Amino acid sequence: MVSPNLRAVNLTKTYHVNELVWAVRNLYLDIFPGDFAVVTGPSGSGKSTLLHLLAGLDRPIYGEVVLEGSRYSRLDEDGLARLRRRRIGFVYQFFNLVSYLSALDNVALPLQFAGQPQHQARSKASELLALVDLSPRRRHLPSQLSGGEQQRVAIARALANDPDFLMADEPTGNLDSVRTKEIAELFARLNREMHKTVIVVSHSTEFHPYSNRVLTMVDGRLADGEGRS
Amino acid sequence: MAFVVLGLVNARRNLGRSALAVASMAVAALVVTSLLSLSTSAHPGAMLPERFLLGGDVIITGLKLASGARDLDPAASLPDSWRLGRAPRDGAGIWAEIVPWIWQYGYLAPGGEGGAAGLFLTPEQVDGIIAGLAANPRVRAALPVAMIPVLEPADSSRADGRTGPVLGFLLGRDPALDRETFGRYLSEDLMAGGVYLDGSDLARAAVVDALRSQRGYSSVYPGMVLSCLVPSMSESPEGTPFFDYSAPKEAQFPVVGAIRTPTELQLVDDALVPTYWGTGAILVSDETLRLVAEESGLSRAPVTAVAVRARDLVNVKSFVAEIREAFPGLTVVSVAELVAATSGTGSIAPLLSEVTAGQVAGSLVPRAVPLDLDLVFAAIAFTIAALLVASNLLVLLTARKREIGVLRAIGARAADVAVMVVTEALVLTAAGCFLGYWPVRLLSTIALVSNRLSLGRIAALTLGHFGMVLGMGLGFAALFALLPAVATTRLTCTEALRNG
Repeated sequence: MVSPNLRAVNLTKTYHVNELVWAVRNLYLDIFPGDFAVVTGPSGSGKSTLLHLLAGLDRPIYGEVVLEGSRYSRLDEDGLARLRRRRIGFVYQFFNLVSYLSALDNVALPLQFAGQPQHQARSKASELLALVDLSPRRRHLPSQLSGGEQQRVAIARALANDPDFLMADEPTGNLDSVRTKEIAELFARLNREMHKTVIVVSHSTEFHPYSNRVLTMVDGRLADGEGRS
Repeated sequence: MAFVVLGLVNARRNLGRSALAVASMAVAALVVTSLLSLSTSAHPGAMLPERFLLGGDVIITGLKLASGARDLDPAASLPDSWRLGRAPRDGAGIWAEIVPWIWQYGYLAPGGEGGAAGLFLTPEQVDGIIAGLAANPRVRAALPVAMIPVLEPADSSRADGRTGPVLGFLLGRDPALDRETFGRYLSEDLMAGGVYLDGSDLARAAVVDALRSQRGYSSVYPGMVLSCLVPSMSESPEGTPFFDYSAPKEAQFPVVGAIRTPTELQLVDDALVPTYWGTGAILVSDETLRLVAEESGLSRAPVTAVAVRARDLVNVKSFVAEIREAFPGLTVVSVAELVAATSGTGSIAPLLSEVTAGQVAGSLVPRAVPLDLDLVFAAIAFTIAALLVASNLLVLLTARKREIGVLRAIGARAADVAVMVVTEALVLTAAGCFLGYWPVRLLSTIALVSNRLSLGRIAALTLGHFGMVLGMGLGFAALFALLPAVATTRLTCTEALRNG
């Protein structure tokens, strides 16, 4: 039996916005190697918060995230940064590229953070841009790229350090239907061919045909039985 | 390394704010460089307790002084009274020296090696001069003066009615100049020039040597007791007493202060003689004068000359004209003019302050460490500039929260981002220091050259000073950049992304 490589155990996160908001409440989730999970649900249901907690971008007030035995709660901020750098690629709705760096340099950045020399980092970045069909645009600044192209740069950047997990928070939220389909297919290809474990938060149903799990969140909780396979 | 590069890129990218930060640091560097260029610390040998300078001195004598190379020509018929150890030309007064003079660039100037200015005034004449000056309303209105009788005895009657202890000049030389060097100057440079110097000058050198070798001081300190040789007193064939340096005697003097002429600022860049031309006139008390007189066999301390100290060099020229008009029978020598002539450029050394009783009293406390407020001003200037740079960075970082969040999200550690911020600050600071230093350097060079001051002063501002400015700037910037840098370390990436 395959064991989960990412687990959320009794995960709880609250915010204070005039009143106490339970973004994620007592949530259990197992993610298995090769999973393509789509997290869906209404706005404010806690999807993005969950993804941030799973990626180690944020900390729960209670509960634990465990990635192949590593408990996030035992890692300090720098430890989490190292973990994100090596194990998790993250893609945002608004791309979040560094505006003054070219597509190539944006992709090379995490590699350099990981200690690779600039020329090696750029060489690897070129390969990744080729993977997302952006070789001709590698010298362009983010502002010179379309939304779909920017998102593909962001995906290439997320893949830079060859992470096991690819997490995306509404990656197609800013794209038209054609680009949405392209991005969804790209994620599917990465899951299928590069064996990335993919977790996507999305309102779009374009991802559903490629996913093996669709998780629905309501009021900070997953629908009954969806968290654990 | 990637973060250093990011810092560099950021510094270049945010040109507006970077320019502001660079400008603020440049202003600080400019201020500090200006301070340095004016600072005495840029000029070795200038120590605070000895900064009592006589820039405005006007010496009134009874003799015509040498004023050009021709006067030093051994073939020329020099009055006997110009020569050391010789008797004055008539018996009406007392021979003494005010300051030694140096022959340089074809001129005589206060210096020490070149000879002595003889003067020949009776006590009555001295009092008359003082009274005349004090009574001259134009002189008084134009230029408040302090009148310092030279080698005046304690019991002398003063026409201006002042009483109490008086200070006199005891002839000395720059103690930093050692005997060997002094002797070489005499034997090679000046002795060859003619009859002007003789063995008595070597005895005088021994006085200087005593200051240096016996006490181990590089200079004369107020409060120290000098053990040295003094000239004995002789009489001319006409019966006039004078100092005879050929038979010096041992004596001890408590030093209450030190005075140097403006020539000290004309630095001589000589590796063997790290010193300057200087007339180290040592201030001694009236009691010391009395002791000197006794040791020298004088029945009374000699009344010699009147040095009138002007407060403002700017007015010296007109002031001298006034005095010359008032005393047509006397020679009036402006030290400032002589210094100007000696420099070969016509410019005078920077304005020098009057020695006040308070300064002399203050100088009685030996100071082991020279007080230099320049560093305090420099620190203030750089603190302000570094705060500006830091505040700029803080504003900039607030605007770049999202970017920082992204960097953190893709694996940058907090320390990495802090490195980026500090790098940015250092780059801006280095640029500011460069922009602040070199224009001042250029301007000061132009100013100094156009004022025809000695090259020594220009050369005094060196690359080492640039290093100092840069080092201080970077130090302060690094310190204050920690503020925004630490602020970034406290941001989690989610916070940064959400609020950015």
